[in-house]
Amino acid sequence: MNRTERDFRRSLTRRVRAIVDASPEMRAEWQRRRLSLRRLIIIGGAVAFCALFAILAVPFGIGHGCCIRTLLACLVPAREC
Amino acid sequence: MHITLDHVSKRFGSLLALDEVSLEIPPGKIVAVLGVNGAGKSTLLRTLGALLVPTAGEVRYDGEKFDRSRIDFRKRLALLPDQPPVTSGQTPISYMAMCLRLWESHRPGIEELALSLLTDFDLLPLAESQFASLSRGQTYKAALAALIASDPELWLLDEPFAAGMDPRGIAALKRYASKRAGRGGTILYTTQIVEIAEQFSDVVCILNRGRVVALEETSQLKRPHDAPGRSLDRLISELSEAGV
Repeated sequence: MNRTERDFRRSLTRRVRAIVDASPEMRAEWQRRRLSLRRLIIIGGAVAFCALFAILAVPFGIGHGCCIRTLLACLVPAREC
Repeated sequence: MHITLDHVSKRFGSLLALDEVSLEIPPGKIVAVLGVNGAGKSTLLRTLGALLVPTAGEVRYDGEKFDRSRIDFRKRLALLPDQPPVTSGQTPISYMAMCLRLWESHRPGIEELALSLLTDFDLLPLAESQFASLSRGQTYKAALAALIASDPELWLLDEPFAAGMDPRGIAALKRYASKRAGRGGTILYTTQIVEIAEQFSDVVCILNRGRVVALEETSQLKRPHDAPGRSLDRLISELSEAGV
């Protein structure tokens, strides 16, 4: 992305936000979409966390009876698991 | 941009999608390419946009042979397929910025135009939303807004009136297309809707089985039924009945 493109994006985004903020209907629509994006990020984060846990569980030999404490211990290399 | 097609054919294996198509379109016209499914409309548009290479014949812009290597001509046209070429992570703003860079269309007043487009196509609250979260019609409107902002001389729009746009978007498209044609641009779009072709075009090109069966001024086609001109509906019916 070159400078002109980046400047255009930033400037247009700023102006669009100013217009959207000035209109209650548009602001509501924008926030509704932002919320759904936030929900997506939370779900994505949870899935990533579970995946990381599954990946770590195998080399560290964590069984079904593991707990958060064990997991945290595994994530900190200095401590024994 | 003066468009000339000289005996252009395009073959896909055993299927002849375009069969010796020859036509001339002067600048400043809105051209509706009409035809049933499989008539060759999209193939014609893709050939004009250099997405397809003709099997035979030649496409000429302003009298010069056009092919994929002619970047100078490719910057003067934009093709918008019925499925816009956007990625799910892009937003209407980022897509427009990318198009402006690719078409080298940054110019004074471009931000005002971009804001007008986003407003007219009802995209302001969606301007920062990813395409993954937009509907088909919203995505098409955003891609169309980016095309209009890039200001190519030749617009090649594949089925714009069947791309899920709302009436406001359709009205905005017609308004901007008419303005661009008034400045010497050429708008070429495909449709299967006879009424739209009748109401919104200067020239109608009817394709059937890869052949141009009619290329007439829309005003000629809209004459009363008893006059020498024919209505589009009647013309299409005649073609279907004759199996042309």
